[in-house]
Amino acid sequence: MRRITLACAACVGLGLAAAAAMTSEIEIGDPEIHLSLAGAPTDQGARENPLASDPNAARAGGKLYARHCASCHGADLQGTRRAPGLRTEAVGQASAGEIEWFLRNGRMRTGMPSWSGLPEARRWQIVSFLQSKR
Amino acid sequence: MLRALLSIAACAACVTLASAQERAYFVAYDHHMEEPGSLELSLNPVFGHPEGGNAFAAAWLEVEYGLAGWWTSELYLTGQTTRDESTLFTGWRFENRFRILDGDRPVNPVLYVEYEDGTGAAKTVQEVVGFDNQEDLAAPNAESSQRTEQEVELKLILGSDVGGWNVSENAIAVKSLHGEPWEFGYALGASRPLALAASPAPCRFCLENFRVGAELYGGLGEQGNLTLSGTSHYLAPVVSWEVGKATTLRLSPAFGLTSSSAPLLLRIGFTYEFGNVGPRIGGWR
Repeated sequence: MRRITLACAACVGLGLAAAAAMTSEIEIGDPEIHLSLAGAPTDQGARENPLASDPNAARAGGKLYARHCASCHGADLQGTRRAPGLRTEAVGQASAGEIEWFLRNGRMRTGMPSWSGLPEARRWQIVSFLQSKR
Repeated sequence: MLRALLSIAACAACVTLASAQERAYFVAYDHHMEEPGSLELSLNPVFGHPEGGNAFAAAWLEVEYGLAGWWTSELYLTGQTTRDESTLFTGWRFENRFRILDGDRPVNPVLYVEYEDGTGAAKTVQEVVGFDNQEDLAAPNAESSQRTEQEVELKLILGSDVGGWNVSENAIAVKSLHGEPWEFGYALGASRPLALAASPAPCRFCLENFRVGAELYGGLGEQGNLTLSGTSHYLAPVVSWEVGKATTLRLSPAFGLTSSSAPLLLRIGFTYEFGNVGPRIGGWR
């Protein structure tokens, strides 16, 4: 009896989770990403991209973008239902340090993961790619 | 009917291949969550030959879904086949992981809650707790499959990313719902990609696609008898290869460190990830 109760509880939990997920509304908006980028501490935002003079950095970053980011932000940075486009004023005006800081920290509430699992060099390569698209 | 098929086809068209930050470990968890709306399928065979028992091949199928940036849910199905004995479905487990703090911190905590319903014949060794030992793996299927096990498992997962390294520490507590005392265990992992920067050209065999490391896991006794004596411990080198955009292969030989441990467990993992599979909680507003 206890076993059945627990199995039912697990199923109900899963059902509630799915129901909660189904009710979510996702809207694409620039103000949120602007706030997120602006949240970088001053010293972090002031950092220069150490790969700025590397001619291959943007190409490598493009490869990483296609692998890790394009499924949500769109292959051409145009955005999707799930995440905003990155050809925006907020991203265009952000410093390299702010973008790298945001990639590393993410913003959990909005679904943007922390990409701290990517080595720092790869995050800077992605920054190079994004800035090459300005 | 046609309408239903068209709907399914439309959904399938939205699904994309995605590559997340896959953990290299088999037993230890790191602090990275599944991307919201992404589904990961993973098949993980385990091969072993405990002293005094027959060789076996066990496996778990893992279905992982990112419900939110802070919430990942997983369902596991396990089975095994033992030479000269039988092939069995050994149970299921349902787990949820909750990332507590936003952002990247020196140490990132994640809470893990799991319910498991299975039999004593399970041989996947997805964690080691209490006084788990190789006699459990050597017991005949006809005997061990008669023993049902319902357990609740809690983990505190701590993870850090420093200089390309991932370091993860798991504290494990398991409570049997049949009135047995709490059992405790641990899992530690460290891993690093072979190249920190990506090369500009697409490549399959370049160093950046490989991650190597090791994990250490074992039992710590039970409530009222916390000890290393009589417990099992394993040291397991791990290598992970990101074969393609969505596919990861992992390999890990786990070496038993004590007489209670099985001498060797060989683990193989095949993971495939789909992005944008379904709904999620939260989003850009």
